[in-house]
Amino acid sequence: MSREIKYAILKEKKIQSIDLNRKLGRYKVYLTDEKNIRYNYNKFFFQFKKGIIKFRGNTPKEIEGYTTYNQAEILKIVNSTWGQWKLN
Amino acid sequence: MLGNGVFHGMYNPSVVWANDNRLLFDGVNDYITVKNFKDFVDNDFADSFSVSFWFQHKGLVNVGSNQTFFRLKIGESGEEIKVIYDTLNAWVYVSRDESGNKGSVDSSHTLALSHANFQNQHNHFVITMANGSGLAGINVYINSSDGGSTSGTGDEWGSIESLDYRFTLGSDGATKYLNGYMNNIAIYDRVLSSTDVGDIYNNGEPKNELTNTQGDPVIYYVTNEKNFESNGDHNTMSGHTIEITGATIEPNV
Repeated sequence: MSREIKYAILKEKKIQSIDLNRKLGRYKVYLTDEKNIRYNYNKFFFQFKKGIIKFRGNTPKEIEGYTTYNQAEILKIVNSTWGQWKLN
Repeated sequence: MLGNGVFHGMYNPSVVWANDNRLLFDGVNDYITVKNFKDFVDNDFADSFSVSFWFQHKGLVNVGSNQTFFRLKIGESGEEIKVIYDTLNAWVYVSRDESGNKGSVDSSHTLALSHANFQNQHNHFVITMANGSGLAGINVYINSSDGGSTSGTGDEWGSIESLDYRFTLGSDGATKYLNGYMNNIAIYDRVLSSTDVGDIYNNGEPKNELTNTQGDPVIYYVTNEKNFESNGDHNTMSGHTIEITGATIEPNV
């Protein structure tokens, strides 16, 4: 099993539907909890509020099909001038 | 004052870590906090303290936004003191304005390393916070070199016992996150002297257990866990608790 850390950008409602404390064996599936989810605060009015979640290894089943990013890719997004990704 | 803001410290690249792991901050949303920091302030820190850690930047250093080593927030709406790492210029500076900008800081209080130094090796950082008449000021050491204390007189950030302090490493609470590896985090209940800092730096060879001669840290954490489960509370070697949020434990290389 790959141990690479990956990220996904999900709508706020989708994030709220996920158990961020779920464990697979001894490890937590997600490396994000409510305290460090960064949301986009500079969105256009027609856009949904979205947040970034982080996990290690295979994509969790509840977010299969969503685009995933590696660290370099997600850093480009959070450091871009749009979005203003901030803690909630 | 040494260096006038210029880095002069020599680094010994043959770092020997007794522990196998280190903390990785991803630059996206990772940080650690000291739990019940106000209790430490009330019980241990009379009016001053120091923070020591080793850090190696990850990824390209001359791109991206500024990052945060250290943040002390005083009260819900009070002043924020931050030590910021400017990745574009490989500078470290102290900020006292909310946005974390360098504007309010004298340029002579900026410490510079080369990009190569930041990127390819662990560097030792000490931040001293002095409060009280005649002592007030913040100083940053990199590899035992002194950046010069920021100016200040009297109780610059108020009565330390009466305020709610929040202590964070790796995040400014907004958008400036640290991207790199940190190890051997120690917090002391006093302002370390340059001699203390030199002892801890130990010519670039980090010690994994600090003795009284290095200042007897109140809180001391090395990443000696053998698994990848890093979120949540972690006991320090000195019995106190830090909370790791997002940062992961990775093998030393």
